[in-house]
Amino acid sequence: MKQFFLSGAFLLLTVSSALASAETCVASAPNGNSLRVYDAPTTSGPVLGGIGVGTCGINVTNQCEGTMCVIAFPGLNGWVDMRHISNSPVQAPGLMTSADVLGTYVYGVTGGSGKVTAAGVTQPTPVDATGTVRLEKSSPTAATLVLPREVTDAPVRLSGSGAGPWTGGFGSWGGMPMNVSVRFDGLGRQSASLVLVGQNQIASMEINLNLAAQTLPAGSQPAASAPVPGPVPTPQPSVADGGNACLELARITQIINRQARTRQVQDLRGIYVIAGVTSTDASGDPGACQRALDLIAQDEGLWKLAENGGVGSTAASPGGAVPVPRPSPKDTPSPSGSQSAQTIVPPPAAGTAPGESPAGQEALLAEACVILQPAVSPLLRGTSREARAAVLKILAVQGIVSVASAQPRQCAYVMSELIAAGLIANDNRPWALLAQSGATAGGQQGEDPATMIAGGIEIGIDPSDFIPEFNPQGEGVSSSPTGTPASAGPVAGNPCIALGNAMIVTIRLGFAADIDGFAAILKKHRVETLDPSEARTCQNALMEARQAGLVR
Amino acid sequence: MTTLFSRLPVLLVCLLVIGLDVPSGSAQTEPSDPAEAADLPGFGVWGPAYRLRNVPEGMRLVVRASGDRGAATVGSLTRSATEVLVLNCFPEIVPLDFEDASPDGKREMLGGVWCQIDHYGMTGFVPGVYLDPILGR
Repeated sequence: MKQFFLSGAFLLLTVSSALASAETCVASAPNGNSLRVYDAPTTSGPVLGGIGVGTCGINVTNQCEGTMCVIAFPGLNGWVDMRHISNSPVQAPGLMTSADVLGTYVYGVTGGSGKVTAAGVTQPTPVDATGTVRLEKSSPTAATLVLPREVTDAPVRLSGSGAGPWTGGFGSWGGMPMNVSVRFDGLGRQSASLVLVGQNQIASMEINLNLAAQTLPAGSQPAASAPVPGPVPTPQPSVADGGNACLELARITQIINRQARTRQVQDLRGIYVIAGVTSTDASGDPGACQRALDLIAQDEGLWKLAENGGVGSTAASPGGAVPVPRPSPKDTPSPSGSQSAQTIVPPPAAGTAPGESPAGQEALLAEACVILQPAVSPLLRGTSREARAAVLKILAVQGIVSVASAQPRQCAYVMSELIAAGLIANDNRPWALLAQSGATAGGQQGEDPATMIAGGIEIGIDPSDFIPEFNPQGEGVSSSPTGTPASAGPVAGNPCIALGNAMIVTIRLGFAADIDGFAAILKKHRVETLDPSEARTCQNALMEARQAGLVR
Repeated sequence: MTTLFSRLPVLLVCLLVIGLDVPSGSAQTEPSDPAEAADLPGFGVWGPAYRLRNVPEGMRLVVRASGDRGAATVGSLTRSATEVLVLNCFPEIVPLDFEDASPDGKREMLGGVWCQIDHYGMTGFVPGVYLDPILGR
């Protein structure tokens, strides 16, 4: 039974498992909330956006300078400070170290996992991804690891060399006898790991922590290190022969990011937004990825980069499956060009008369978004912040976050507004009329604007989102997992809660005999859960614990 | 069925504070992050902290393991919870869009998304319709 308490000690390290262990994630941020994505490899440059701490799925490219690298994240490409990124396959040159330097290495915990085995039952225990560990290397083969005092008072002596493994151990965990072995791998690297394995006669546990370098010894960075090369993409057939458009997009993105200027990276970022690409892994929306590929194909500069990177030597669209004719410059200027001040002419819709008849209007409306997309793309990716802001404002009125997922009438409205604002040339089509008409293309007539948000899905209020307040008077209590009280007072009547609290007190007091006694009572009454539905079982155990003088 | 294993840590956390932070008073002094000085305040949905809205009196808001009403419950928030941090929302809310929107516009945008939130260490997902950005501070 002591296992429970031992597990408790480990579980104190656990609160959330938000971070997956193998993914590249935002581990921290200077402001604590979101990591800035910059327009240039400097933190004093313009901010393109932010990515929340804990967000994973960051694609790090090999385009690095100092501690900054270009990352590709759905809808947001730009430079980030790699000191805040964990598990990156790419190391920023400014963060590379030989691990041979003596000094203090500080790593932040970015995630990991743990498990506790007690009474033949193994339970996983996620780890808290907020702490730091410190390793002080005093000689080429000796180091000390500083763990929290609550875990062990004395620094843990480790031996090893280079990046590792560095191994050692200590004899008690939180004051309780337990042989704990320590293994640290990846010293000096951007990503490292710490494994703690403990065992005594009644329990065993294992905690694996993923670490990201926060501070490495001064002077350890090599002067002219090149970024660690990632996997070099090899030319592959286009998706025309059955490939996945998202994988193709991911590959092309990587190629472009490696070679592109910041401006072009921004262009690519804009394409992701416009096409509605939220993921480029195999689970991504192939339609959105294909749209992005099509847009890349329309962008002279980006497509040239992709071609040079080995995408293919033909002038065909990278998508292949849905070839997009490359528009002539007079129709659609290259988004990489200087389009900020020029008026953009929307390309004519194929085979569509300018809406003279109801049928013509219907057909024009059906193509509104197809026409809008190439018209709005250069504006969103242009150098004119004013133009970009104006377009975003118009899109916001319609709640459009992605042209790809917008409704035809919304697109018609945007077209009419863009023309009215002089942002695109008047093509003499009845966009305003279509936006207000009763035309039914897209089936969005009369739709509540709130339901148009974010691609037409409204996530409204639902009774299933609520549970009764545990303590109606205790409005000030902090959050707590469902069914678990934040304070014992109002729920002390529940024997399971009272039992749990009594256990905690016993653990805190730390008398081995009491702990063993409590364990025996729980075992006797088969208390396996503190769920309130087990109140009777809890009550029996609680009564016996009281009789035994274990409840204070 | 909630097991003792999964309940116990929460109860323990109420009384004990142990983490992997280096104990205070140690010799660890990290150099100030150069990004810190140049950083702007939070941007987009990550800019403000949030309080809750649309939660009926006497009720708590369920926090789920993923952005789906069928997902498991990982915790709950009292209706007066404040300083709720948004880690991410999906579908994505364009940061510039959010920045430019009025307070009502921001709420409207949040009405169409699920957001991953953090409240004093508890992480999970809630519909954005319950999040109210705390602006102007």
